[in-house]
Amino acid sequence: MARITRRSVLLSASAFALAPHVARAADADAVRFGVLYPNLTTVIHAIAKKTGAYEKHNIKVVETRFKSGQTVEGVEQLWRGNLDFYMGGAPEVPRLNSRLIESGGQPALAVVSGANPGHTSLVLSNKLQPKTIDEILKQPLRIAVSSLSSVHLAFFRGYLRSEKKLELDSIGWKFLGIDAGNMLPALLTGQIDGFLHSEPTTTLAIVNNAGHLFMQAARGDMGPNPPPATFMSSRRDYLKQKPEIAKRFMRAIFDANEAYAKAPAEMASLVAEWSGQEEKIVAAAQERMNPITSLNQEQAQKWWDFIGSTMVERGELSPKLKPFPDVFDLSLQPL
Amino acid sequence: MDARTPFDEQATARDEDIAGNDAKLNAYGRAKRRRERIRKIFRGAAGVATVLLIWQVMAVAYNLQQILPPPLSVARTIFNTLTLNYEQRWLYGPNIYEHLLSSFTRAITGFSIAAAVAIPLGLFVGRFRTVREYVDPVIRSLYPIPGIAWIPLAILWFGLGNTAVIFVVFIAEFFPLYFNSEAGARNINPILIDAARCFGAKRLTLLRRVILPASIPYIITGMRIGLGGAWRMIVAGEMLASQSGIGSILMESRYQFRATDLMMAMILISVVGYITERLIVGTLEKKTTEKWEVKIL
Repeated sequence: MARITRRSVLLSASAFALAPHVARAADADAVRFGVLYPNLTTVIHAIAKKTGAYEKHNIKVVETRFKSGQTVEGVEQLWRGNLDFYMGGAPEVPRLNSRLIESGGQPALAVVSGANPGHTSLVLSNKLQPKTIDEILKQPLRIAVSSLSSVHLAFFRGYLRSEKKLELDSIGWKFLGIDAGNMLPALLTGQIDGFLHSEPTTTLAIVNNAGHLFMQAARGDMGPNPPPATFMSSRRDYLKQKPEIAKRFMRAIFDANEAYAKAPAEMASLVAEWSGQEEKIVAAAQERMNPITSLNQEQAQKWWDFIGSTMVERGELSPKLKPFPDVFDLSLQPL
Repeated sequence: MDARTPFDEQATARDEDIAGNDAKLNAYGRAKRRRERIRKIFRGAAGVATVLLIWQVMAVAYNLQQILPPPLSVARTIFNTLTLNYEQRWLYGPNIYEHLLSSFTRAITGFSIAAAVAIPLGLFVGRFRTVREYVDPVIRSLYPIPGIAWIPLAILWFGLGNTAVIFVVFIAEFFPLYFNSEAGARNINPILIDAARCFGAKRLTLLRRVILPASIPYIITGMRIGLGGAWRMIVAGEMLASQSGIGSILMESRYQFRATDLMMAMILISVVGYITERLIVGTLEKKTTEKWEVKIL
């Protein structure tokens, strides 16, 4: 009969203590990823999950969902070290980096990719049927935006400056900060004359005959080659400490890009499921959305020239903040 | 001829002694009260100073400027904002006074409507058991619904803007005002009512001379709770359903990661709320409770 010796007890205890670590070595690397949900702009993550892109690159995504319109919460969590990547609205990351630079620190976050170029739509009430925007710029219209810091308002400001040589303050419109969910009822009840927002709010307004699409940035109505409206961001210290995992994560995203590009129509049901919209709404919205997540130097510079520089002039960003390297880090693409 | 007897002189001397003693006692009492007031102010100031010191040390030592701006930065921001001499670009539309005025108007309108409805209803329900048995279940079933839960419905009913926020303030303030008025009216000593009736007091006289003065301490307490709640509610309402007011500054400063502006807005709410409470409830208290010398036993 086997005797219980001191050595066997110590060996068993060591094996017991080490077992989870040995087992974990073979596990996929975890990436804590924050996304807006339900949302159309972050659908690339749903595609990566569905197509097995994360597993292919040995990544286990620990997903944290943030309510649409709450990008600021996601960026805060990324900055506090509770996330490794975050995908959502665009201006919050430069804003946070700007605050850090103003207080004598270093920019903590980096925009590593982008999606949905030109995702800004100007929807007007059916009562307003102008032929050109010049007809209505001086009218006292009430235009809803999700907040006065909205990326769509920043985009529109950039459009006015670069294409119309006008400042936002010089036009007659009044911008009202309204939650996206309230834009449609507000438009239907005549409380607003239009809104500047993205999908699916635009399609919902069109489908419900609450308003009509007057301008759409993606089709070039607000200038050529519109910049991305959604950013994928990470922490700089994370990118430095775990560059291999970050690269594999981004490769999985690029695989999902390819999957979407091959058959966007086939993705409608998945997009509908992720965004919480009906499939017919998604099918109608798809022509105005482009979830493919990538960003090159030219697009990043365009974002800065169009949106970033106007944010600097408005005082939202510090003049000390430079697009490269304080905002963008494009080292993860192309891979 | 001097008609004063030795007894009179003794009495006068005694009276003078008493008066002198009273004067001494009064002077002693005044000095004591002054000492107590100074001690109270000193202790209060010491408490505030300690908190500010810990706050400053923590913010600087742990480099927390982005999440806990030091009190000196916040104080500087408040001063600059109030003097309209902004250190950073002002991103919140109209100046701070217009925002404060918007919030103040909404808070006072919602509170006044709530007071105008809840106090008479509370007094009425408190005095009539039959009415109470009908009304109480309805009010008690609505009471647990938090004011903030009414915001989506308020937006649906009244649209975005002043009315929705005022409605939410009204709903939130109705209950403390109602319950306190009702309790005040219900707890009046029946002897007071009977005595007034014996002197021929009819309904209106009874209300004006007995019920209202006897309930006023409760009503004042309800108003004090209600006005504080109005400020809490106004901020929540403006964060979700308004483009102006101190709540909208709070929301926008968060989007801009400007923690100093956020704390400035919070401190201004506290100061304005305190001043409003002192001005409105304090004045009302002086004109009623203190004048009629009534108190909750």
